[in-house]
Amino acid sequence: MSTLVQARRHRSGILVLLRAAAGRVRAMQETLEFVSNGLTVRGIVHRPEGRTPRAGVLLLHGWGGTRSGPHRILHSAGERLAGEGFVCLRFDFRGRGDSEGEVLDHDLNTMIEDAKCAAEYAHVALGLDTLYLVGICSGGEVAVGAMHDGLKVAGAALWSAPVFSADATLSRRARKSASYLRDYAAKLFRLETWRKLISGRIRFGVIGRVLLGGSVHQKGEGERKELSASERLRGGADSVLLIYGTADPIAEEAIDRYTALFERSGARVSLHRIVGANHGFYSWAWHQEVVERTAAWMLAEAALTAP
Amino acid sequence: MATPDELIPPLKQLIVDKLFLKVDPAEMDADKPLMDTYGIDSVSLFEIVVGLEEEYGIVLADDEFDIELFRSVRSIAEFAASKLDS
Amino acid sequence: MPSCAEVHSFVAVEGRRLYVAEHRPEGAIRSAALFCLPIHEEEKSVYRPMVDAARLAAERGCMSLRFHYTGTGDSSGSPLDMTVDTLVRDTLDAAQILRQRSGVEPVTLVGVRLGAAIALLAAERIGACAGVLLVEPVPSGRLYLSRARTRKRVRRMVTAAEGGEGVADSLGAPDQPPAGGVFDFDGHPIAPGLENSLAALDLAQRTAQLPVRVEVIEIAPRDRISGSVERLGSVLEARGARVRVRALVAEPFWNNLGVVHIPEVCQAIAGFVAGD
Repeated sequence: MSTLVQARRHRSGILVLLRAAAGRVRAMQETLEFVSNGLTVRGIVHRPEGRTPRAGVLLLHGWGGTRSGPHRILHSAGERLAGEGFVCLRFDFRGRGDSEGEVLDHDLNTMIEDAKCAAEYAHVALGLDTLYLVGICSGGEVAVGAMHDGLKVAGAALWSAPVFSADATLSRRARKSASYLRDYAAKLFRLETWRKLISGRIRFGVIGRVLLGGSVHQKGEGERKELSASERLRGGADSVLLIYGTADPIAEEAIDRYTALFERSGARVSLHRIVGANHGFYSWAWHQEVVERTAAWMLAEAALTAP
Repeated sequence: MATPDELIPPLKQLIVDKLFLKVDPAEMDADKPLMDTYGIDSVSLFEIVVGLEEEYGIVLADDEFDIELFRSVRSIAEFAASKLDS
Repeated sequence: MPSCAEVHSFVAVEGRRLYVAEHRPEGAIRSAALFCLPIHEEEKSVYRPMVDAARLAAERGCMSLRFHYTGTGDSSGSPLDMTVDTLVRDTLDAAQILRQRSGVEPVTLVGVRLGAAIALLAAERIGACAGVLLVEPVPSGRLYLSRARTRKRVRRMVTAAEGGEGVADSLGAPDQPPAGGVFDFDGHPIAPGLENSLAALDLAQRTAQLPVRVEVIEIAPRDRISGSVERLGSVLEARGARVRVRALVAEPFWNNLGVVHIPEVCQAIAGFVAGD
């Protein structure tokens, strides 16, 4: 069925997206595999056809998600951005989706390692020297964590990213507690917990201690500290786009913290609020607004840095 | 017709079952705030709504989706009793 | 690390590109299983446990194939063109791919939630079918749509208490879709084609003979079979199936927003498809 036929049949916001799609370049999806710490990470590359790529984009999913993201929003973003000439990589973090690794062995720290491996793969295997990061929810935290660990990118779009507090190296001991992951995930996604997390009343480490009994910081596990108010990134981005819904209870504090963090690091920071949207952007209109706003920002940034 | 007090024990059991709470239903305080006490989120509330439908045939009308209704076991029992009575 | 080989690829089928993930045993292939996932946000929650189940099955000699329906995941196509018929068509195509790759003719179908209903419909047309495993099957499309709307209202109720949602969140009247014909289900568009075909889907009304082994697993808070699942078992028996119905105590993982880890369910699936 052609795009125009669909557009005639469905009257709604969807019409706009499908019509706009008609003028872009074709994009092809291919499977992707790379190795992170000895395990195979699997995903998809969206490649623009018949033109030199503008840049590469890593699309980072959240804690409990897969490479498609909630309501397939990362797939939409991959298609949309590839249509504008960006090579987009979507992949499942280790222990998630199709990638290798046990669910209980992986946490925000290993997600950050995977993101850095993906950046290396994009550079070495795909020849992409300029890179953007797009992360939703914990995927946004991963983007910040990777930049904190030294990854330097042209831009980063953070969608509903909570304040980075990846003191979450709990997994080895967590396996000893059968109910741990369920409780941890339940706490992690409870709105009140989000508020407590970002206000400093609870941190992952505290949750871990409560659930597991005793300190979670074991020698050699590579603990990760919460970003402090005066933290600086070892890597960073030239430009950062923050997208939050106005009905997301984590938004205001996260916006304050990330704006300060990235401005201190010399980045251009822009903010887009989606009126009424909740944390996961659970509506088709919000889904489109997130994708379109990100595409417009990335095109503008790419134009600024074009030779 | 069941009164709210009569509905409270089976509703406690339903909530414990549906949400996999590790508490004795008899120990639950019917007046305590459900959200704060048991950390109920939207998925948990959905399970309770489905439980009301499956166990009692209670289907919420569009204008009955009010967070106050789920404030406590007692508020749910009062709502359920009124629906069963109508 | 799984002790099986995994191949992830796109397969061209009549103008569509299906994403398929193959789990091949290291030794001899003793059986073959096709995994049918649910759609919409349930797919996200169920995805990883089905990867784990497929890996476990392959370790027991069962070659397993997972796939994405067109308009979902990484497969081509628009979700706007999805109907129950396209879901069944994709399942039958994936079964053919599995047969060709495994060399096993009678394949076993595994379905979770709406995927279970699709697996059952596909089993009627698949020819050689070794068995069907239905995990927490959705018995009717009407119930699925009704619960979709309930879930959306609950989410809106909670969000409203946290600050309110905007008008962008189209919901429609309780029994009819909004103007334009597309129901917005948590960011997934449900077009009239899917809505109408789901409304017509009722497993209790199917009458085609199904002389295969069928197991129905109800995910429940207690080891107790509900009336609706018992009725489904009776309907399947009347259609000639050899039916086993059982409850498995586990949380409703298909609604879980976080990481899902349900080894007991994965083991049950692997045991069925490997013929243990």
